[in-house]
Amino acid sequence: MDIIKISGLTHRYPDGRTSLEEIDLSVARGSFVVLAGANGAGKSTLLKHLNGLLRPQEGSVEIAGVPVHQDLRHARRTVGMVFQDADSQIVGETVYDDAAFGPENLHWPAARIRESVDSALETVGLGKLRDRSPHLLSGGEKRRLAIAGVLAMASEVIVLDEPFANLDYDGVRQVLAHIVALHAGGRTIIVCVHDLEKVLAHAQRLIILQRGRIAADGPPEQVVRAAEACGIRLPAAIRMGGMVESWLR
Amino acid sequence: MAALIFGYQPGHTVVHRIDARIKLAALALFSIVSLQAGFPGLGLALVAALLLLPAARCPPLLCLRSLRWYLVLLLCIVAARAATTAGEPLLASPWLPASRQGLEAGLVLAGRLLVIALLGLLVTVTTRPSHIRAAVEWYLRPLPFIPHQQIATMIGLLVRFIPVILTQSAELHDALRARAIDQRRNPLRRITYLGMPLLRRTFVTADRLAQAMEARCYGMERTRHQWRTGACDWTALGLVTGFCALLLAIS
Repeated sequence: MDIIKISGLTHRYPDGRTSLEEIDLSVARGSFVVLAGANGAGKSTLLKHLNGLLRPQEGSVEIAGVPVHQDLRHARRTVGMVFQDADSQIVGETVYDDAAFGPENLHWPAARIRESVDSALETVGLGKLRDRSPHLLSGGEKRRLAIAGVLAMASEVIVLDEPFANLDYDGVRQVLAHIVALHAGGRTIIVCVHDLEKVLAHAQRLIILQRGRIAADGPPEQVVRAAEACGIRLPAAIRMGGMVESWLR
Repeated sequence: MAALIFGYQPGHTVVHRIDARIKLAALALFSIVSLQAGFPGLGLALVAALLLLPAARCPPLLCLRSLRWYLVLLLCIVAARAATTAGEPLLASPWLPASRQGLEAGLVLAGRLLVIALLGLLVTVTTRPSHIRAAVEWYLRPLPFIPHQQIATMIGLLVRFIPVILTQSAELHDALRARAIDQRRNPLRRITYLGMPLLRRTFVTADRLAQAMEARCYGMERTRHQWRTGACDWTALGLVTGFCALLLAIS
């Protein structure tokens, strides 16, 4: 069953430039989708429509059968967004407070918040840092805290915008391991990247955006060859005639 | 490391366990009473503050080192008061016009500010920022026309983002130094080169933050903090009230 259904979505900037044009897209529950595209292809704009941060100017976006504009709270609870810049999305004064921010906004009872936040922090391996100031965390830990923030809201879909940006090898592996584990736990994952190398081995579907349109969509092994023509570097292993290997090996 | 003493330090001491509302009320009460306190009262208060700090696993020397620039400011206040208050001259030299009355007034003022700062530090070190935020919200709630939840959120964001802005400022400063900003003699130009990008970056961060908060369902109705006030809290309030009465009596 599809958890996300987008029909005829078009978005234009105030100056008239088109950022998304006639996007038709469905995402199956529990799938692992990589959304790739060069800078300015419309990836982030598309992601913001999933969470109701942007409303469709034309077309519609449905989350679990409910149009986003009809029930914003439902959309935001179902689709958790992890932004590219972890520093500017962490709002809590401590790790625990930040993870609790979403559940507090949902007006959950205190006991449920405690349980949900404890579980989310343990899942991303930050249970022991609960009283630390987020400012003192490493880049990878901040990214994991941002993931914990959406896990604590029990989001079914986790959307990650450039989750590996500015991370070292170890940081990439840590974040990737958590993303893969969340997918194995049944969550729908949408990862937005412009570098396929790190995540493609785990994806079930690759969608390539180019100038606001879907240029290619399908299983990664069939679609990846179209990447180079859309301004995305083909992974080195594929250039050499092999398959992309997981960074977790 | 010294700067870290300004933030919350997790712990399980009695001071850590006291209700944040009681701690804020005690700090406010003490600040008001200290305005009336003279030398004996301030001496007693300073001793009490220096005893309370280690009780909360907060080394007094580290606290004083963390407040070193504040202590320099207090010294300036003492010097200014001594130099500008009329009275019996302390020194014969006409170039150093310090009066005994001015020095006493300056010391009393600096003592009050030092004791309040030490106790404020004790509150911030032993209280989770979210509890301070919730306590402020609790005190503002009965006031009409005051958006108490928004004010509390703003306090929380301020605490969270001061280190972020300071880090950004340090990064920008390094980037400017790498491009020989030190060669510029005009300080106004240097401030402009640092200030404008910092301001722009701060606004961009604020914009992203607003989006991230919206994405996590930020709204007017949020889960309220669950307060648990026990005998220990009321005892603490009683002790502070008694101590304040003693300060007033000996002053």
